[in-house]
Amino acid sequence: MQQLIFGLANGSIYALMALAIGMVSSTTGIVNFAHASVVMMGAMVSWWMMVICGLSYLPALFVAIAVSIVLNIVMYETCVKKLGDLQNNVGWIITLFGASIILDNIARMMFGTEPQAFPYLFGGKMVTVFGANIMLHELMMITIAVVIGVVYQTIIKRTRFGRAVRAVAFRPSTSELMGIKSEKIILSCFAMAGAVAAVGGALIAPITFASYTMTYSIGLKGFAAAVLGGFGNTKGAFIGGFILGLIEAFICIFVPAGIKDSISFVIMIIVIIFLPEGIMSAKFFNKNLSAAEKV
Amino acid sequence: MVRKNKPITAVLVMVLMSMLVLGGCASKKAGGEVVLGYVGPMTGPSATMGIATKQGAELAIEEINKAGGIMGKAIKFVTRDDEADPTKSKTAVQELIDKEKVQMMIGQPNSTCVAASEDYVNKNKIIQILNIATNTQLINAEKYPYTFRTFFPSPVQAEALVNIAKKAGFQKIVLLGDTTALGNDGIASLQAACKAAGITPVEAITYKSGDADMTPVAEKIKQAGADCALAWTLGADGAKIVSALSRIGYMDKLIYLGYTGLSLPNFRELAGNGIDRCYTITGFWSVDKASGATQLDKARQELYDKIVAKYGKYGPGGRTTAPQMVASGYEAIYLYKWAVETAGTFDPDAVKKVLETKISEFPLKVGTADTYRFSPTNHEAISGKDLVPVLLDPMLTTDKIFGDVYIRGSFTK
Repeated sequence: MQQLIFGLANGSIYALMALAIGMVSSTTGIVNFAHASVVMMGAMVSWWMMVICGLSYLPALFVAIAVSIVLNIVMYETCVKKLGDLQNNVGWIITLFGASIILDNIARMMFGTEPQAFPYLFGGKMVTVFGANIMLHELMMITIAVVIGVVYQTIIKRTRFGRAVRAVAFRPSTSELMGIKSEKIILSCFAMAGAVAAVGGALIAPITFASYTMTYSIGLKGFAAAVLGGFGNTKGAFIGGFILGLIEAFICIFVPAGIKDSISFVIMIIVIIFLPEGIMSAKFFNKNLSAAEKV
Repeated sequence: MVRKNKPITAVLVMVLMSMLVLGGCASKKAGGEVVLGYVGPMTGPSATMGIATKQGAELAIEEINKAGGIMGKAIKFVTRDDEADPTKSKTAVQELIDKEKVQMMIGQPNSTCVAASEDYVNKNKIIQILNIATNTQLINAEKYPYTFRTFFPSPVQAEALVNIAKKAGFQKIVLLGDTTALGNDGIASLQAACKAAGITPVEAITYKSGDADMTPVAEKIKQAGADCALAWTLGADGAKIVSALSRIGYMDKLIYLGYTGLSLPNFRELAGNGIDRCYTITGFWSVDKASGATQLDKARQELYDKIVAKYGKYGPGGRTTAPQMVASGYEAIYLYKWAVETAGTFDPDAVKKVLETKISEFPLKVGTADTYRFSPTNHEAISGKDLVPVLLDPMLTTDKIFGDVYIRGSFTK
């Protein structure tokens, strides 16, 4: 039971990261390499607001969300939009990597180099579920991630805005001809990704501690989860995150913790060899879906 | 007449100016400077170790330069931040040797960083003093003839930790270490010490340093049913493990006993509620309160007062570095000064010979032990004998004197 909860708790963070990466890549076709740094900034701003400014958890989180949204919009305006045709101009690889390094250094200068203790939700209170000691914080991590995932899918499937997102993701030029302002849609996706990043950062920081290096390893796993689920497929990326978390949690029973990452990536490589477009490309998940519905 | 004398005057002026310039150079050359270097982490999770060494070295250099330098040469101190990254560290060391022409270096605190550049340091005959790095393999008088260590190496610390655990009567001991050279060396040293003490640990658990979540490590400790974890973990990693043990509700069933890496301040700050079951070992930088002492011994107390005067008191918003680490950087500079002055030359072979043959004459007693034992075949200053005052206490600031100096204590299960 404990392994299951830990797997789902860590998986929820990978899922949120993969979801945000998927939001951006589905509409632009690019990979936001600076996403992990935005997650870190979300955590550091939350910590700053709580510890230095004395705000409580929720107001601090709202400030962090606002900052992360602004960061992502600025990143889009400066590192992506200026490049023009993103399919033929791969300069975004460099600009986004550069943005990541800049953000890390800004955080280092602003918040210092030492890891900082970040408070758990509910003061770290624990509950016993089927004999396993579980923190309420971990249950909240899973719950919040699932709620965000469900809300996003509902928006995508059931709203006018969601249809516009899917249209831009499927045929950007055609959607422009049909009156959809694709640039605004892309900007909205960047903003939503920023908000999700801040939430993910604040949720994982009590476990990793808040520091400018806190997402160095989980950032890579967020990308891995996005690939595992299927790049550009937000539902798949989200599920991929949880699967990766569970793989890690259960692998640790059998192998030393020091090599768990290697084993996790071996499993992912095997999955990708057989399902190059991710687990959500399996026929089982795509019985009656059109291409536009796979966003 | 006037017109005739003009060229002669001009030549005279030029000669005088040249003499002044050359004279200036000559006088500078007579004093000159000696370049000493340090590469270490000034940022990142290991920064407190790097900054501590730098602070100590700078304190010593300020004093030495005020008193006339080393054999009349002022010390120029050059430092680089390696962020505890072996690749960056190696590049920085090469830069200091090739461009800055350093003649002596204080070794990096992280063993992996020392390992990455030690060959280059020794090929260039640079005297290197390791004041914090503990890996056993780093000291080899034949392979690395110019590298000396003034700190407890891994086997000495491991022996102390195992003996304390044995004396306290722990039955199920797990060994903890990361997968870097530091952790591997620590685990190997602990295993050897366990074997020597007739103890069979229930498990040796490894983890990746810097891993975001240490819950799997905590789970392994719990599954092993351990009552004591002998930990070769650095501050932030160790704190994550203790925090994860608290998360799974196992910390109250365990004593977490770690090597000197746990004395990093970030461990205390991050470990959370489990801190009152965490212990470490230390050396001569401790106060024997039980015998009535309220201060360190005279030499160390004087240095401690200088550290506080220069870098402030320990605590939030103040100094973050541990005094014994600052002292080790301070001592390294004075050790080199003494060796050069005893040799009467900066020649590295002569300095090396003094360190190997006359170390018992080194007067400054502010380091991790009072007696150093270098010889032509042994470049480890400290042996197991120096760890007689094994000092152990809960890592709570309330149980410390001055907020950052440990009180000697006893230990029971």
